[in-house]
Amino acid sequence: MINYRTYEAEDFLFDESFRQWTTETTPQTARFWEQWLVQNPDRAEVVRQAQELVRALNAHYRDDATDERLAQELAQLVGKAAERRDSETEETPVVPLSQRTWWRWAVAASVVVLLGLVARIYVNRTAKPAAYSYEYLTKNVPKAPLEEKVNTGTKAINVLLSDGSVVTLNPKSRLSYPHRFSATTRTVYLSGEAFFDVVKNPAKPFLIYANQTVTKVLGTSFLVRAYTEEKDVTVMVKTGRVSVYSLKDYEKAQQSGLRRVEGVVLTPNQQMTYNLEENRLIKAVVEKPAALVVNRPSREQEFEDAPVARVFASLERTYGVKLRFDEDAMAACLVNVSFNEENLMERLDVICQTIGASYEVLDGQIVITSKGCH
Amino acid sequence: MEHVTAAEYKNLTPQELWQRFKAGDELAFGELAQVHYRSLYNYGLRLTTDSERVWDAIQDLLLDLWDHRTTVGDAVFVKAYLLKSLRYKLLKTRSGPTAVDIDESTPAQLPFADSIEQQIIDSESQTEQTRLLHQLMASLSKRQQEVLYLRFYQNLDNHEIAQIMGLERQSVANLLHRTFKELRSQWSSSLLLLLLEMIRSGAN
Repeated sequence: MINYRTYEAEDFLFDESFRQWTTETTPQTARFWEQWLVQNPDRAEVVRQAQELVRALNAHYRDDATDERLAQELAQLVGKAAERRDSETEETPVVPLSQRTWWRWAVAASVVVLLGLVARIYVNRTAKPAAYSYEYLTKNVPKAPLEEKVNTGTKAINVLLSDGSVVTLNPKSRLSYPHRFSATTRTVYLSGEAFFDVVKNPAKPFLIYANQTVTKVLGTSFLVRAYTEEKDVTVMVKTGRVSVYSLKDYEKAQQSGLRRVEGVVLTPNQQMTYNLEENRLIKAVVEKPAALVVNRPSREQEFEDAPVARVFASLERTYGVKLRFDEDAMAACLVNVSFNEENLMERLDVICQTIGASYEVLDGQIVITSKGCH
Repeated sequence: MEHVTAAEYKNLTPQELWQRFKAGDELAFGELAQVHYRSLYNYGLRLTTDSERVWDAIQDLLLDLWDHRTTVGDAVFVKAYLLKSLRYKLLKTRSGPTAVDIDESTPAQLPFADSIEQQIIDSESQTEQTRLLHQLMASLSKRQQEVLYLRFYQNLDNHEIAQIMGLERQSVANLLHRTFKELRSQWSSSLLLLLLEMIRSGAN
């Protein structure tokens, strides 16, 4: 039991029970204090003083916040919180699509991303952080050994990845990728310039590590250009959605389990400049959107009652990949089809559906099996 | 996570609310924030007279916590921590190169400015005591005012006050002691004067 007899006015000031009595918030305290005053009449003056102080201070500290305003602020807060969380959820896998249906989804979405990672080159010999260089990353980061394609020629070469995505690697460029992608992500490393035709799979984001940036693909096809000596990286998007992060931020977030990464989401006709020295991402509008198309190979194809062998041959040329199939068994198969923005896998899906065939990706080649057409 | 209706959030334990907040449940977050909202606003008004700036700062502060919900420590929704963050936000973002600290030597227009109290005094029927107290408060230094406020209105202990104001605990104790002493002696004499005045006016 507290000995209130020794209390001075300011001690009462901070006594919860005393304050409740004074502000009349709880009736139970009133009984106690009234009784106490009867028993300690000599302390009545101190108590009166303290009560006056409590009342005066309460009035003094009164604010203008109404219940309505508080409710409104709280609703706004909760709304913003939900909004921010939802914008993060692109980080987390959505419903995984089954092997047989992903192409329908991709076609229906028909999102084409053209992303140019165009950099202005200023050779920087001193401040290059080796930690995030292409060489360092490909040697030290992946758990499984990587395969590497180096284009030393003068023409672009095509690389077929295990998920069916096709990378057109331009001259003086290198691409490292795992023989088989991991269960959670599809990560590749690029030095130089490449055009990506990525098979859409929201459950397994496609990540391109290039010159201290990480580009996450939410759309389907785009161009990346990032030569090693570069100090300024620009990402441009024609259509669709692409996320770009600084490598440092991306890795930090991955390690700490943070779902929100400081990055830039690019939508059509937006461009991002990443300055390697200032380690800053700057978003802007693309000045001449049409220029983006220049680096993008045209892959329009149209076939009318064409023998499937001819279609496959055309696909081989367009994508620079090897297609294996039994030409005799499929001699009677004719297709009517036209392609524009579809990627290789989407095209193969359409063709195989038409002629009742199936295909699989084996060691950088596509093997098509069919019982033939009648 | 199973669905919980708005009313049921009231019945969740602090730990349950905390877990839900960490998992990204915005309603649990709202529930945790709600407990401190008025206190925060009230404190903000001691630091700036711009009430809209206070509302904005509270939103910013809480959304910062939300953004870092997966990594923040358990002490985030402790009153002292929130008040300290708000203090930092409001004093830091003060435009221009003005003082970041509440300086005893700095005169009136800094924190614990009087315009809100003035408004209340102007608009409400005030007791003589409140008017007296207002005068008394004005005679206290800014530091004394803040210490008294945190102790009385926010009901914090000396250790928490020290944390918020960036002082030693002993300094807070000394400051409080001095403040009470001044307040009490002034209050008593003021009340005496008031009483005399009433007697005089009653006699007329």
